[in-house]
Amino acid sequence: MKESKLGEFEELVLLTVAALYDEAYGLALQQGLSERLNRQVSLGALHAALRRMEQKGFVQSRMGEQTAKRGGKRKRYFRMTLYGFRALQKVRATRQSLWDDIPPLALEF
Amino acid sequence: MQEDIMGDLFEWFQERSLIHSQRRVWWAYLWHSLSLWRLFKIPTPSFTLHYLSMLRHYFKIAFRNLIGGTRNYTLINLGGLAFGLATSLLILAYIQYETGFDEFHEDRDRIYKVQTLFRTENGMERIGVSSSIVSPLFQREFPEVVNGVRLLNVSGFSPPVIRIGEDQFQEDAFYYADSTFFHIFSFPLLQGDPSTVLSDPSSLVINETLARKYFPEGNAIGQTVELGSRTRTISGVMADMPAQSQLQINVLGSFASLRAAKSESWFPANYHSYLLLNPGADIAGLRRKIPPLLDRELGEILQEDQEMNIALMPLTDVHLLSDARSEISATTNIRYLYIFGAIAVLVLLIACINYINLATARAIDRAREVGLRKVVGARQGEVFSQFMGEATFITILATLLGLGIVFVMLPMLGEITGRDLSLEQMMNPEFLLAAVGIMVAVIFLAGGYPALVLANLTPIKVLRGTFRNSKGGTWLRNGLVVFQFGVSTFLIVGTLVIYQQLQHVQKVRLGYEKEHLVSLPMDRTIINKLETIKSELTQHPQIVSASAASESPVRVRGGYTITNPALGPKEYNVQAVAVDKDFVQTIGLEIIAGNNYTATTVDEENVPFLLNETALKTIGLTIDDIGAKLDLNGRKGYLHGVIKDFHFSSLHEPIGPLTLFIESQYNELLVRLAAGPVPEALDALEDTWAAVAPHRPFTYTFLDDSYQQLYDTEQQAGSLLTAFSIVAIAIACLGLLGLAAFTAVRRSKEIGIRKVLGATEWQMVSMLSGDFTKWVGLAILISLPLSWYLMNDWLSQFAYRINVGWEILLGASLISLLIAWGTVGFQAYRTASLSPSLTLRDE
Repeated sequence: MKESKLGEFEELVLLTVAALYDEAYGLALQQGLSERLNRQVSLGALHAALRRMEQKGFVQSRMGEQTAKRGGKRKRYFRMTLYGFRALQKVRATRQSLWDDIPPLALEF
Repeated sequence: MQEDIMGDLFEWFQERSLIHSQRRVWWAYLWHSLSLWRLFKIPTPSFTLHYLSMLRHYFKIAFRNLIGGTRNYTLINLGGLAFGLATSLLILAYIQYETGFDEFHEDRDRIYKVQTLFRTENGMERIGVSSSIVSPLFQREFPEVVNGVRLLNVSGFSPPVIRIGEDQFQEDAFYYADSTFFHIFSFPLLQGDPSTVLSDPSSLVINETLARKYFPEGNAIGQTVELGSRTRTISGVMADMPAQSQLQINVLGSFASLRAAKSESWFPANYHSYLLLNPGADIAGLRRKIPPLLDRELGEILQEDQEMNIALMPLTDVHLLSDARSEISATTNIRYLYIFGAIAVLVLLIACINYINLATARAIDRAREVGLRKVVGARQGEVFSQFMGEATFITILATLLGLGIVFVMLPMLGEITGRDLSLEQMMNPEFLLAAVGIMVAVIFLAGGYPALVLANLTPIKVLRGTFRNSKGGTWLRNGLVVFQFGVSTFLIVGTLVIYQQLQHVQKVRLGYEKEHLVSLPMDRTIINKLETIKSELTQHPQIVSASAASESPVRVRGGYTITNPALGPKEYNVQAVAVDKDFVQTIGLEIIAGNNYTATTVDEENVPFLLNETALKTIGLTIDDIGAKLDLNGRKGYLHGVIKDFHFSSLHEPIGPLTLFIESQYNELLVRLAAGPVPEALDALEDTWAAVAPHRPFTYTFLDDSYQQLYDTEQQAGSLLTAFSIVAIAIACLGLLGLAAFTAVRRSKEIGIRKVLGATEWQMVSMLSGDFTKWVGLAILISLPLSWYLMNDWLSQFAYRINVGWEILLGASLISLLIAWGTVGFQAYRTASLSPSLTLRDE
């Protein structure tokens, strides 16, 4: 079976999920990403990415407790899986190797 | 929506509201909400994907089926459908053309043609001309009639010659018309005022083409020309009259210049009158008012047993529905349109039948494919759509092909029918709509049945193999073959009969010699010099004799009445021709009693008449009554001689009574040329003409050409019927070919076994052919009596005709059989020659 690919945006979302560890839920991810990327990330894009990744098996989710806040709606927390971690590693390794291939000459401007 | 997402949205909204203004938050809220559409973008293997890939599959299968192994069948189907469609479209174009006459007149719903009815021995006769009094009288007496116009065709008697300077032009489409002409008809007047353009007696209106011909450099208006001994001024130029018009006029003269214009009279009735009614007029009421008026006006003039009536026919009906004699232009019998329409439908039906035959026959082969499809889940609707789709595809292709054929064939159709059929004519919405309609009908008809049959298959029956020999299917297939060949046989019979009748018409002895006889137009000047001209002409060895008459013997129309004072005041209707003393010799008539004419001049108080046998009988005289007193329309005279009956009209009519008398109202100079090379004789004629009649251009007509024209309609019908027969046979053959091939293939195993057991190829061929011969034979049996009956009916319009002899029926049957055998035999032979090792290979 082919390995599922990790898109660019998905990579960012997954990293943020990992960074927030157990506190990774919709809004927190959205705020964290928006700050880091310096642009507004829409809830739709975020949740679509999360759903895709869950299907591919990079993250798993669990529902939180009910609180009075948020109009009584529970939060959904996301956690990175081992598979997701491997995917991140792979991407990182690929990128790193490409960086290493660059001769110093190319970096002189 | 997911609970957590809603919660996120809510929380976000709350936090934002603390920092930013309400409005900004709301806008951002909108943005975030809308972005959630992405959640629904995730592709899942769903409905749409399934249909798309199935469609691709169906296309592949259809394509393979049609182009691949079954290419021949497809081509056959395609060809047949294309031919059928092309034929229908051509006929449609023709019908549309014929029914579209005179539609361009604005007031066409209010214009009526006046026809006169009068009693003869044969009953009431209807003619398309009327008296000069009708138009003005009706306008005065009936408030419904607001306007009227009378037309007089002088070209019919003696075509006028227009002289411009040194040039002479003989005009064959010259009419005199009332000044109201352009107010009633919608003929565009390019130059001139419609209200006054024909008021002045010396005015003349010519059409565009003539304006350019007569006055190439400049303006035609105001120019003067010579008409006979008079001068005329061009007062207007009109556009050329369209082809789809019952009026075909090139030059209009003013009615006011005619002597007849000065008085209104009931006789002679030579004028074409058209009346314009006011909007909303009650035509039925008007028609009822006519007989009382006629009684009042004609009461004293008419005799006891004479009867006259006036009929009004709507302008747009004249071209197709008028059966009056002497209509203003050639009409088309609407019966033929119906017949052609029926043929179009028949041919199309045959083509569809072919498709159905072939498709159902092959369905048996594809039954396994269908059965399998159903097993793996195809629904009935899907199977139906698959085959309908194939049918649609083929039909559309066939339509395009058919249109191509029409494109090529249209000019030929135009030639045969003598009509101006062009592609631009066809590109009108009704026609295209009809074409699409036909195409859709074919798709449903031809595609529907096989698709239904296949869709309703139960997989078990199919896979077991019992579908192969369904009774119902075989019945239908053979029945359709019978129908196709029945129709083809009928068409062959029809064609043969028409051509035989036409041959007969050519060969029948007319009673005079119409070959080598030439007619030239005469006028006053020539009449005055007649004897000189005749003696000049006969000096040439190539010219045998010359004579003058008021009408050519080919078609005598002049109607007179004759009485025998000794027997009583009863008047008899006869045809009569004014002739000179050399008429009988020049034409070649036979005198069976009394004497021919000898003197040039006659005693006007005692005119010698020559009657034909029928006239004699009609009046009640015999050949011993030479010298009996006779009165022809006021001319008092006696019976000078009796002529043997001869045909002076088309063979549609029996020979009627004819009277010849000497009077100098001649219109035609009849010249008999010596047998032998014609061009020299014509040269001699031309030379003499130039010497004695320099004021007229030299134009002549051969009498046998005029005679041919009497049968134009039949010629056309013959040509068209031949064409249709060929098409019908071609399509029937294609159908038979496909069917034969299919059957042969189906029985190839059987054939293989038989061959192994010792049968020869020829035995196989005759076995296969025998089956089909049965059906073709049945078709012939059914269609022969029908053909015989129908063609006899058609022939009854001729007073002199052939009989539908057994030779024709036999001939047609043989042709059909031979064609069928040829078609089937060819296919059968191919299959029969296959070596059994090939056919019996897989079992």
